[in-house]
Amino acid sequence: MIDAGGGLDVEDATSQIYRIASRDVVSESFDGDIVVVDLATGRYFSLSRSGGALWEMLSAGVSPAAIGKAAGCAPEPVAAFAETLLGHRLLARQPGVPASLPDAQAIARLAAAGDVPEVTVFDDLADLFTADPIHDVEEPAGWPVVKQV
Amino acid sequence: MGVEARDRTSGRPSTVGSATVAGYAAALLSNARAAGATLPPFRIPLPGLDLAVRIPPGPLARAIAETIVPQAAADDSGRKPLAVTILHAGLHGVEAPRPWGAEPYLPHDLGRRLAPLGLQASFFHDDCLWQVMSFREGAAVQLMRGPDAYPPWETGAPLRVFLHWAYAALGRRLVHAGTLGHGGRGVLLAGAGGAGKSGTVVAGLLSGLVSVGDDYVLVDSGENVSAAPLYGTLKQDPAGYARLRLADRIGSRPLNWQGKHEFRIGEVATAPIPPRIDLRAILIPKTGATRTSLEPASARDVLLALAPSALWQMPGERESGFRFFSTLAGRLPGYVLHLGPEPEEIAARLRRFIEDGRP
Repeated sequence: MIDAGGGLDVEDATSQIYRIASRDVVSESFDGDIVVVDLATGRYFSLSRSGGALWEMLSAGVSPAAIGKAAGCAPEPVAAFAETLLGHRLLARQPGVPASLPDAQAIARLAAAGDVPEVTVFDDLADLFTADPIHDVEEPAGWPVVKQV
Repeated sequence: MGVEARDRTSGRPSTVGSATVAGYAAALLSNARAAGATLPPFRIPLPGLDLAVRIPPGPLARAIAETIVPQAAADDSGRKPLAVTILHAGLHGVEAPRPWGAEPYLPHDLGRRLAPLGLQASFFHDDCLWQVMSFREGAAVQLMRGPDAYPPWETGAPLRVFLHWAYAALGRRLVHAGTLGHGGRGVLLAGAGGAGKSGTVVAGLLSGLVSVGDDYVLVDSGENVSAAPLYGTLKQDPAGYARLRLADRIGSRPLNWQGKHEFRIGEVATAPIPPRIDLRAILIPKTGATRTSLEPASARDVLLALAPSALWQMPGERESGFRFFSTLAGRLPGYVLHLGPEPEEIAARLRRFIEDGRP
């Protein structure tokens, strides 16, 4: 249900199912350290340990409510983190799809993380990635000088 | 004279778009076979590739001959042929390159669109330059408006786009990084421009270490992670050139398009460029320390240092590059290299690290 402000009410937010937003969004795990990159925009995202565990489950279609239940924590912060990932266009909502069950190892990683779910964004190269090197170029400097709007 | 293709009704130059790029690429390759036949092939043996370049005489041909490091190994077996033809409008009736049209030019999408056809293509708008490659034919063409109509960085690492495509298809990768080695082992130096990467490479060379390249090196992430040379180019900004007292050794050089002095590894190294070095670690240089030291860095930090520039600087699809660099970051230990001010002290510290394999 969409509330008057355009957001989701609490119950809907925690029962949302997400998927990875597009095939341009790819991730790698290094012993629990997760790096996500949007290949179309050039933005890199580094997730905290708990954020990485949540990313694994949310992107696999586990609802915040199911994660909260399995981990013994409140689902609202999980839903808030999912919406942060949605805001970065790393996840997309996937209504009408049955929820997946949480992975026991990911739940264990979440419990062991001992930090706050956070995303650090690296967008130093984003201007260059998103610019069209033909049509968005500062004349007469040429590529890679991107037109400043 | 070259003939510029024009639209029959509007009279404007015919353009290329996402719907026509595959056909245009095939036509360029076909034209290259005909026009390139008049040019003698210039062969350069490279790791895993037998490169044959057909190019008219000129500065770009000289840059290819002087910059690309041929592999000295006697064993020619197993090298895949790669024939690159460099053409320009007017050469034996070659038609001028067609510009890209009004639709957005998205290199990442273009790469994905062409890959299933066994093709890759890249368009550099400023010079209306096309680079096209057919993986099935092992052939590539670079079509320019004129003999000197190429981007200013091309002479520092010529044919870089073709080598990137060819090596990516072989599971290897051009990596934007510096290297230093000793006794067959060595390190990769990764990081953003200005971090001290190139100055560290030159400092090491001046003190007797070896290098398989700065700027772009060929990395194999197979059983043994190793780096091999492709280009012998080094660059230093005027401050680094003065700090390393390079004018005393190799004299003054005109500044390149980046405002840097450009020179060759052989001009400063005390030993020849080795055919490869086995990589022990990836270092992320940082300037500003009073003494040189190494501090462990996570694989995540190594990936963040290594991948962005490497992915952005090469055309085509980006996911395989991200996966390659992730594998690399996961397989080798990473360290932040805090650089002291003295080149000799930096080189001595790195030599110890390479010999010992630990900080």
